[in-house]
Amino acid sequence: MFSGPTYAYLQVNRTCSGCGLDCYASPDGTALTLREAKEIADMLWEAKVFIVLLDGGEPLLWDGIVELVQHFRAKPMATAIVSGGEDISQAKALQKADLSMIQFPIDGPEDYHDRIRGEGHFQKTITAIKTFCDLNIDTHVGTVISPENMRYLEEISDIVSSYPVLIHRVLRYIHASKFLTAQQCVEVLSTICTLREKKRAIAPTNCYTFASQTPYRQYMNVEKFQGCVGGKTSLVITCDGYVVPCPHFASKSIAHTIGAPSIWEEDIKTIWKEWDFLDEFRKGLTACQVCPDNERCGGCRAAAFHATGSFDYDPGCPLSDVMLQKIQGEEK
Amino acid sequence: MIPERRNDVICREEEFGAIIFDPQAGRMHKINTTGHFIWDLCDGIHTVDTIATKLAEQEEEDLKTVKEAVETFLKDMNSRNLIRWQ
Repeated sequence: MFSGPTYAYLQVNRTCSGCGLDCYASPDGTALTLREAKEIADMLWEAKVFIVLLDGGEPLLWDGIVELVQHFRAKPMATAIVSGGEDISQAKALQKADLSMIQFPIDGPEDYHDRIRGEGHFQKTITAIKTFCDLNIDTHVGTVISPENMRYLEEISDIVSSYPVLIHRVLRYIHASKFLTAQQCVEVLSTICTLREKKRAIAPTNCYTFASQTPYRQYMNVEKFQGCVGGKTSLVITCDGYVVPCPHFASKSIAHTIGAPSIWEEDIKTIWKEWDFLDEFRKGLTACQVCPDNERCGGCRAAAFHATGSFDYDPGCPLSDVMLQKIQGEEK
Repeated sequence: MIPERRNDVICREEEFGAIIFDPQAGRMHKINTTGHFIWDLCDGIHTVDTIATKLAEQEEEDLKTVKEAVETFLKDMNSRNLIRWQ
């Protein structure tokens, strides 16, 4: 186990103009003050955390964003923003602040994207992508795949590949009922394989922890693959100051449910080493305990938690059923 | 030949050795305990021979074999732009 996280998400606010997706950080108007955010930056640096991803809500709607990026970069931590592309008026200032990377979402072709995020949002995002690419800031695109938009993945990739985006990252929609089934996850990963054959810079995030059990294995460095990195190499600090293992636990109510400690009460290294929940989280899901791939995979804990209310199994994993049957067989 | 690590590169000690973070590239590199021992001596003062001698003493290994390992490690660190030669 690492002595502490190597990278952290810092949720600066839960403010955005909203969208049609049930979000892990639904907008409740909560936000850090710039002073609080800088204090957290100092704590992260003291714990030798190297990389920070500023998350929201919408970090570009947060007043202190440029000053905070400068503060992190001066340490010098690599500093990225995960944005919804809602306000790019600070783009040049962020370039000057030496922002390391920014990611924008594309959920589908224009009609679909606008249906999810609001009229005119697709063009706004395209403008954001172009603007940051033109400023030579590493620009990524993230697509959250749900059962509704998985059919658009190739079309989305066509759009993304027409801009000098470094990587197109494919995420999973984590939701209580609208989650991808195991079959759909394999389908998504197979589509990504097809796109990789076309030399597209596209990859699934580690939320597809089981990717090495699918055709996507051929594109993976299996030896280096870490599966779910929550609590292994990364953690999240919410704008209420809670420390949680992954962005899908970054709402106040979930933080309460899992008994998340506060950054204002305990230091990062103590939380990393001593919080029981994090320790359990690292071990992987119940179904994964009999899986030979558990050490590197362990399943998506967030998908399990949101879909089943427990850490029993990942509904998107093609091996979950087999492993659950194996456990039941052992119990008999 | 005297190796010197870049002074902006950050090293964090770990049970397995260390993580080296290159803030310019935004990249992390894992090194084992032997690599960490060598890394600490890349201060622009110790020569490759001195580093190899110290490591051979520490590990109680044959100097020739150790020197080859040190050279391989330093070559790798240099190719990642983490050290330079003086």
